Amino acid sequence: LPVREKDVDVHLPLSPVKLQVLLSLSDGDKHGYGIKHEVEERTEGKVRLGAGTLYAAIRRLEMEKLLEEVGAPPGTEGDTERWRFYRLTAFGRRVLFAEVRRLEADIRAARAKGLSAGIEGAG
Amino acid sequence: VTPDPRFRRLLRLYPRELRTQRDDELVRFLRRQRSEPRYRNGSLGGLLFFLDVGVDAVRARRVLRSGRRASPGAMLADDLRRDVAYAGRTLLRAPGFAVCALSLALAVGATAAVLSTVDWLLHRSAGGVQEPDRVFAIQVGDAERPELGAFGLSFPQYLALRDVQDAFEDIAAYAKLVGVMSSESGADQVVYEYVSGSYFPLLGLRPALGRLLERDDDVEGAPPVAVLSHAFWRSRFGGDPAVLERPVRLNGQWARVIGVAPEDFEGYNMDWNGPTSVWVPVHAGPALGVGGLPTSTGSFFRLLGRLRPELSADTDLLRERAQVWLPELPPLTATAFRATTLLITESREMRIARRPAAARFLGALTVVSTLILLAACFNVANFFLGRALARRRELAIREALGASLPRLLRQLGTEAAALGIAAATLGVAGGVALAHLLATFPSIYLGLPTTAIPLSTAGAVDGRLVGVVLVLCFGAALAFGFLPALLSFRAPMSALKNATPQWTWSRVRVTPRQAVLVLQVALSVVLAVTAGLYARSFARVAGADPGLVDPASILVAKVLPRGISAEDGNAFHDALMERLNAMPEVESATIGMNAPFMGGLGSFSLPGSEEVVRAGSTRVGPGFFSTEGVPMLAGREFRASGEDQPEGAVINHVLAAALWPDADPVGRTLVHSGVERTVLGVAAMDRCNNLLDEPEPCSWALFARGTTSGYLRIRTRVDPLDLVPLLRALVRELNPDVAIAEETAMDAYVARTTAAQRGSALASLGLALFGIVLLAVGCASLFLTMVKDSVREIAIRMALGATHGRLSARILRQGLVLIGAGAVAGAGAARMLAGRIADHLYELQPTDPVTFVAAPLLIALVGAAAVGYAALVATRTLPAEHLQAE
Repeated sequence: LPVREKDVDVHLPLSPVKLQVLLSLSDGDKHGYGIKHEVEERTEGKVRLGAGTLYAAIRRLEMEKLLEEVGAPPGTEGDTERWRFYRLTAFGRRVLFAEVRRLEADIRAARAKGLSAGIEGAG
Repeated sequence: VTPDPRFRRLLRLYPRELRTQRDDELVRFLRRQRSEPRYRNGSLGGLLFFLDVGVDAVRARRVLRSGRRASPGAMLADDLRRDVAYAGRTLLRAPGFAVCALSLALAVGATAAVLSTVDWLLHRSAGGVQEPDRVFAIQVGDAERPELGAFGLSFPQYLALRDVQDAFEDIAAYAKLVGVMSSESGADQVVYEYVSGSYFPLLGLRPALGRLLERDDDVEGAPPVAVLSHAFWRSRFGGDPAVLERPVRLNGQWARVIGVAPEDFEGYNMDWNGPTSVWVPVHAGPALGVGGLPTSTGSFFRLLGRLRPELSADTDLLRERAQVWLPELPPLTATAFRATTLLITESREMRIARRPAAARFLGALTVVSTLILLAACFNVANFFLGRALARRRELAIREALGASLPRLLRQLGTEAAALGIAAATLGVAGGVALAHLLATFPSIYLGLPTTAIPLSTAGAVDGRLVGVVLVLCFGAALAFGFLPALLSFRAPMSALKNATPQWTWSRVRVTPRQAVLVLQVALSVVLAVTAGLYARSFARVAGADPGLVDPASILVAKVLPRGISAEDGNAFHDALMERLNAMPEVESATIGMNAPFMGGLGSFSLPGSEEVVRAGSTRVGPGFFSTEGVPMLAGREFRASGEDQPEGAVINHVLAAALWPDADPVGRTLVHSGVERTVLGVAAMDRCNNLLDEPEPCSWALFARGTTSGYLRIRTRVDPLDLVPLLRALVRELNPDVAIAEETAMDAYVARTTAAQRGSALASLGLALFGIVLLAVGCASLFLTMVKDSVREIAIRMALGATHGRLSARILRQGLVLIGAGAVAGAGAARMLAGRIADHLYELQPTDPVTFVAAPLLIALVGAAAVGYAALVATRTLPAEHLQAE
């Protein structure tokens, strides 16, 4: 089924938690704690996801078909803890790209107005 | 890793929607989080952790509420879909699931196909009829001799009944005959019906093309018009609508086609000739060579009536009401039976003439397919018990930690549902294919000639079949997968102690798996006994000896002289025999009125005696016995037509012994249906009507020629079927409107006559073997896992010095006790069932000792082999593995 632009636009803008979850999954399948760990590492501890927040976001994203549950990747079969793994759907990837494009446009606009990282409170 | 109940308690802070979905995952997550460095700082760390979780729980609620709110229904559907997909993924990896689902699908497919065919043939009326429950068949019978069956009425009786009866809106008459349709390409036999003008309006049929016969078509002197059946229109005229402008040649006369009947209508009643191809009005009879039809007092017609709307469709009441009509009707021609009662029959009873034979065939299939279904159900039970026990510990821990019963129910239910879906998908496909197969070969169980137009399968496969498959698949998955697994959870604490759950019944304690094993063995025995009884019964059928010399070189072919005068018929028959006997390929040729072993019955007595002997009775031409290779025990057979006295008779040794136990019958006189005949000879033929019975009394009179159809028997010097083109050319040369039909070699004919019995023997044997294999596999795997369950005990015993031999003996003993119990129970159950299938058995007692000893023994041996294998595996390999695992 072809995905229409307006199907994508409904999901924009993404909430900060959702954006972090999708970003985290954009380079590979992860389980819940793996997502939390990656986000914390990438943001240097600035974004901390609790269990409830994370799984609530996952549940919503799953219902919106932006991500899906998948089988455990090879090499993890012997793990005593059987985590559920998640993957970005093709549609989820489109939404993430759209969100990134939207953010980039905002950042370009900000730079055009003389705002950029490193120059704080100028003007 | 021991789960900490504290994390469970923390979960209560989270929204219910998350808890029911992800409880394990959340606990896992929290445990991991708790071990992070920032919470390690003693009680302060604990407090921080608790605060973070509290904040997180509030945020979670907000996130869940964000965005568009999904409807509760959509959420439930979403959960269900995910659960099913998850169950599907885990099940697909489970060993044995494929076998389990496949066997259930096959068994359900077979059962559904059989049930659907039973429904189609035995419980439904002819296709396309409006409100068939309000249409009844009217025949006459002899109340004092119900064994003679039902007879038709004459057309004058029909006309009289129409006026005198007060229960039906209208009544219609139909007579089914075999005629000839000829064209440039040749003449063919065709099954056609003479019907009264009320026939189609009464049934409420709608034409597929043109129009159907109406009341105005059936009046004296009206031109002959014909309605074709849909199948005949397709096969003979390629479904060409232009057939409406084209006259067809029926019985040597021209008739105009006015329409085509609806697709699934093949005649109100299907007799041994098969579906009807053409319908013509009764009053076209004289024009089509059946002159006296509307005025004859012979019992040619079957009647049907549509009940008046204000009357209830109660057959008993109707029968009672009908009896006063009978004395008002003109009498039939004098026959051997007296019509003393009007028989009113429901529509569906009339659909096929060989209802008892078909019911027997389908009954055998129903019994076996039901047993197979049970076998498959035990496999399902076995599989789910295995899974349940393997996860017993895991689920017991969860339950102890507070996972709700509904949660467990849902998990088990979803797996059972996944099995149901898998089996139903395959089962519908298999069932539809099998039902088509059953419907396509009615010649096997309806005994129709192979040349008959195949039955329309349009009505055979419908939504009911799908419904049956769905009900059976989900019923089996629920009853045999979900329930036993659930029952084995009743004592979760015992699972924690690594004990096997037990069902206590009186003082006997059995584990669920032991119970299943005993039931499986019992069922195997029932299946094996049933299959054995069928096999032995049908082996007798297959071994029946028709008493013919070299039947493979006899050609049997029907010859139908239609639309010619009696004199022309005589001349035709004489010329045909003369020319055939002169052919170099032909050793000798003769004719009989009936197909082989399909004669009629007559009453025979000595002159002046009241004592009557019922015997097979038919007419045959000169040279009949020598052509079939039957020697004469005394006297001679018929000589060439015209030279012999027509009131002579040939009888067989059985009738001779019955009438003249101590004297030579040749030259003596017997009375056959009021006609005195002189016995010319005694033939050494055992049977005339039924291939499968004990030797029966038989009598033969001289073939009458004229326009009588008959079955040629030609002993050939070449392959009999190679003679067919020569025969057809010869007949065509003699008269182009005479048809040759049903050509077959005598050995193939005999084989076909017993095809129903052999067919159902093969089908039930095949199904039963399939079931037995299923059960053997089930037994072996079941016992193997039972041994695995007690591997700790075995390992300890071996460590304490028990030898392989003693351990094997112990396992074997335990297994054999279970198998023995199952075999005894199975034999008992089989004994009860055997009484019910006694009707399907041919010359075999349902208590046949050979079967009842051999079948349980066979199953016990298979079971013992399975146990032996398990014992071997257990003592040789399992302890080592177990010790490694520990």
